[in-house]
Amino acid sequence: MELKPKGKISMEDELLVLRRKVQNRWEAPPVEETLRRILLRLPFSLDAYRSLEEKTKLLDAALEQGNGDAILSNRWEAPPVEETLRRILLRLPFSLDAYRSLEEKTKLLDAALEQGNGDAILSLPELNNLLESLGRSREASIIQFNLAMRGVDNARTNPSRSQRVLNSLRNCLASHFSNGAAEMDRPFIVNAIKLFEWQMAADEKFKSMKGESSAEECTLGLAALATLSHSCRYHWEGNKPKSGVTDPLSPSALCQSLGISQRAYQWTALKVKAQEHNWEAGWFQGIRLIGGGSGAPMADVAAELHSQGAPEDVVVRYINLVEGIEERIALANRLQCYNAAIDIMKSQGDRLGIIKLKSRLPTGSEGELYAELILRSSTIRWKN
Amino acid sequence: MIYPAEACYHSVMDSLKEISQRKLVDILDRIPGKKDLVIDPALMKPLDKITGVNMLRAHGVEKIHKMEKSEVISSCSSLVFLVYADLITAKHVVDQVQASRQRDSKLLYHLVLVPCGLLPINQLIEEEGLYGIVNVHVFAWELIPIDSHVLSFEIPHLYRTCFLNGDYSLLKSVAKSLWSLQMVFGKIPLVLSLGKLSKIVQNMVSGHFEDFGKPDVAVNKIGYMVIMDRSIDYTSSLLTSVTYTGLLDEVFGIKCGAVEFGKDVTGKANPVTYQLSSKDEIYNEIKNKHFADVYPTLKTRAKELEAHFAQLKAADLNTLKHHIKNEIRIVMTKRQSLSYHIGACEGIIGSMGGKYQELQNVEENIVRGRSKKESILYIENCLARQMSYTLALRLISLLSITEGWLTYDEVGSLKSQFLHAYGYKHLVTFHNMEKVGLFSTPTPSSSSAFGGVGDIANRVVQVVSLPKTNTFRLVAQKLKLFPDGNNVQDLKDPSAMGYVFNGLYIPLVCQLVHLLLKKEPKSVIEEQLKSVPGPSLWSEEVLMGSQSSNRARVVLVVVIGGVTQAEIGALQLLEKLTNSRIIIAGTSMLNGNLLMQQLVQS
Repeated sequence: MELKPKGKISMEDELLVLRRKVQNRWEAPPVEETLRRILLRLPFSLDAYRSLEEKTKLLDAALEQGNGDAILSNRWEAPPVEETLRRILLRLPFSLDAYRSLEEKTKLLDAALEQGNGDAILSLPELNNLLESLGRSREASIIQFNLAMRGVDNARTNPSRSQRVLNSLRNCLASHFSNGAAEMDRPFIVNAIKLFEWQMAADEKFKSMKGESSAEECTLGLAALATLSHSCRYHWEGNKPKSGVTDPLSPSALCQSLGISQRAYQWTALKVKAQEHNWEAGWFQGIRLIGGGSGAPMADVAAELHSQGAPEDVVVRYINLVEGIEERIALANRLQCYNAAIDIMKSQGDRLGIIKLKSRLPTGSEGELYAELILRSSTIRWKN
Repeated sequence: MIYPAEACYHSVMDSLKEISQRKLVDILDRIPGKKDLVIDPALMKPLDKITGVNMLRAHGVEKIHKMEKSEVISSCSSLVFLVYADLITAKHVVDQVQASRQRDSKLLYHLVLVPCGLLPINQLIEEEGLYGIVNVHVFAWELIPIDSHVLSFEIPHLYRTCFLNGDYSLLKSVAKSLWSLQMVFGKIPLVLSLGKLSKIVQNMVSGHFEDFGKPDVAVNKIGYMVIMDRSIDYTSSLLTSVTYTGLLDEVFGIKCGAVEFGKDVTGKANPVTYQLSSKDEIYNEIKNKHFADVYPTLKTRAKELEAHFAQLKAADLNTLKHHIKNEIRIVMTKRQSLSYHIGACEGIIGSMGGKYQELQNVEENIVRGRSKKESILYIENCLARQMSYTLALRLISLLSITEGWLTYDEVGSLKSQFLHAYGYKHLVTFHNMEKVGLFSTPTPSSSSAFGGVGDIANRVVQVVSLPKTNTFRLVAQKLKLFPDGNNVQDLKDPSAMGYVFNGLYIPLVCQLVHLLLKKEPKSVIEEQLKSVPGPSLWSEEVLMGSQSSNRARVVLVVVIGGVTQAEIGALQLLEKLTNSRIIIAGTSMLNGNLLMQQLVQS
């Protein structure tokens, strides 16, 4: 920094200024001035801010300004929270002893939660208790849960740890989601645990069925619907007569246990069965339930079956369930089920429609020949 | 129409790039000898916009490596790491340096941080015993020109750090860049900031004028600046835009003004990175068009080109020679551009085609606040079919923001179905969404099936507090963000900004700019902004009488947290309609999918 005074100044004035500076050496300069120096990276000192009031004022002003450096460089009695969090994050030694007042503790936790790097912090019992004692249970719980869920992800590559993961989930539920604001999320944690238990059992069963475990068929860590796909593949009840005892690994048992919606169940089953090219007509009738009568999903079902390579008659069955003649014809055309489109038009006596479609089809194609045949028929009463 | 000072703006934009370039080169020149450069992969695309390999080589760079986990072996005297300022990345660099020092103690290490230095990184280096061994530099790049009059600070993680984590360290860089921009363009006489972060930035910028100096430029080239927090108008980032560029971004993802086309679009084996530029005649024509009108336009252009080729076939030798000499390159570029855009259109139709109309309907219903049950059913179908999780989250957020009256059970059920489809770990995602204001859980009602403890007191509170005032609707009505339904307009030839969302909604920031350009008095605008959550700040320079009436009709729009293609499209239309010039800047480019990805815990 330049030490010369700005502009012209007499020696006496300068002396006055300097004397005042020396006298004020131990008095805290205005916070704005200090924050400005920090922002501009000029030399500064925070030593003079000694009382809690001064410190609070400085900190508040720094927060207001969004001046992160000032917050960080502040040498409070307790180390700045960011400093401590950083140490925790990087697994360096640290101490929490200095955070004595409730205010300091809250700040530490706020910062910890905001950083969202709770894994290191919350593995520490003292911080955990702190969160609870401050009534921040919901946030603390969510982070604790996140930590436990990472274990679930890891269990996929390392199934031998699954029992430990399960225990940590159960602990998490018991200690974090049993009361307070976090209780609203309790059902989800309960289900996460049920799902994990189911996955452990299913993988065990798969191993005993096939005599070996397969990484591809491992369900640990999968989402509920992906797990349901596994269940549909390997524990399908199909049209088997019910023996009275439900297999706990069956899709319906899984759905019931987790509260998976009927809609999600049917879509999942549809996809799996279509992939298996299992077009059990009787079963797919169940799909009717999807959408509760509105037309669109039926079209989606037909499109899905078509994309999975279902035979035309299967696809057509679903096209015919679509509400509205126009929609049916459009869908049949889109899915290249021309014979079906022609049949629908035939039933409407729409001769012109058939002629129009025929003109678009390649000569000699199956659809074209069929159209020709229908148009020649003398038994149909045409409306146009 | 060409704006009179058009050329001038282009050159000033270019000067921002030159300043960035100069800053980088200065850092490289300060490092003596030959050096190898290790670059954070995320920095590659923005760097391309600022500098090129040749320039780096001219300043002593030998090899350029992508930063990976494995350590780089260098034969030069210095190893330079160029990374985003982030503690974890810095830790990776430090680890690499430690490992490298075991082998070669003579190598010199430099760490260049973008866009600012962070105290914790310096402390880390000191703690690891590398102080004096690793030299830290800061590369504070300026706003990067992405296309004509579109600037980006290219700090995509700013949204997450500032809005989710509440860490404002990056704001000082944003403020600094807005200060340097005004050093080039002249001090902006009227600044309106909207939202907490914008206010912080604007205050910092004012401080910089005191501390670092004011521009010498006598004329204020920019008359107005609007700075807005992304959180003020989430709706514009959640809705699906219908402009060509909006959909291109939605389907292919535009990164730093470039889009990567695969085989289906280009027909080439390797993916092609295609730079979207308004200098490209074809792109310029279609970029902001309503998608329904893009294909026909491209078809017409293709026919014209065909006709041109047909003419050539019949042409005599001299004409051909003239053509080869003068036009062939232009025509061939045009042809390639046409084929890419046609391919991209097909890609968009293929990916959005079936669901497009339905999605539009659902978004419309949600924004208009009608047919809630149907909208929920649509989302439930998306979840059951495990379609894109970002789409589902966007719709859930949209529903949560716009419907003040989603019940506890509805929220719980949607949440539950989402968790079934994508995993229970997303409980954290919902929590994050709540933190940034994209999702809210109402208080449980007594009939709740989700374990709520309903007592009479609770019930009474519920009854009394209904109907809730919905901030979204209040703001939208005050600022007239719902286009006039009676005034049906041709979306293909739009005359109002709402066309970007199919006439459904006008992005808030665009409407605000419109008010400023209409010279609405301060009191009127402030009155309208009262309903907007978050502080707004109006800073106006006192100008001489004649100056104030002649304030340049040039507006700089800055969105903290990222600007969307829809907003850009709407502002560019406003520019045409009002015969003004609007420069758009964001801390990054954003769309609904990127927004949601930032909220998923990595």
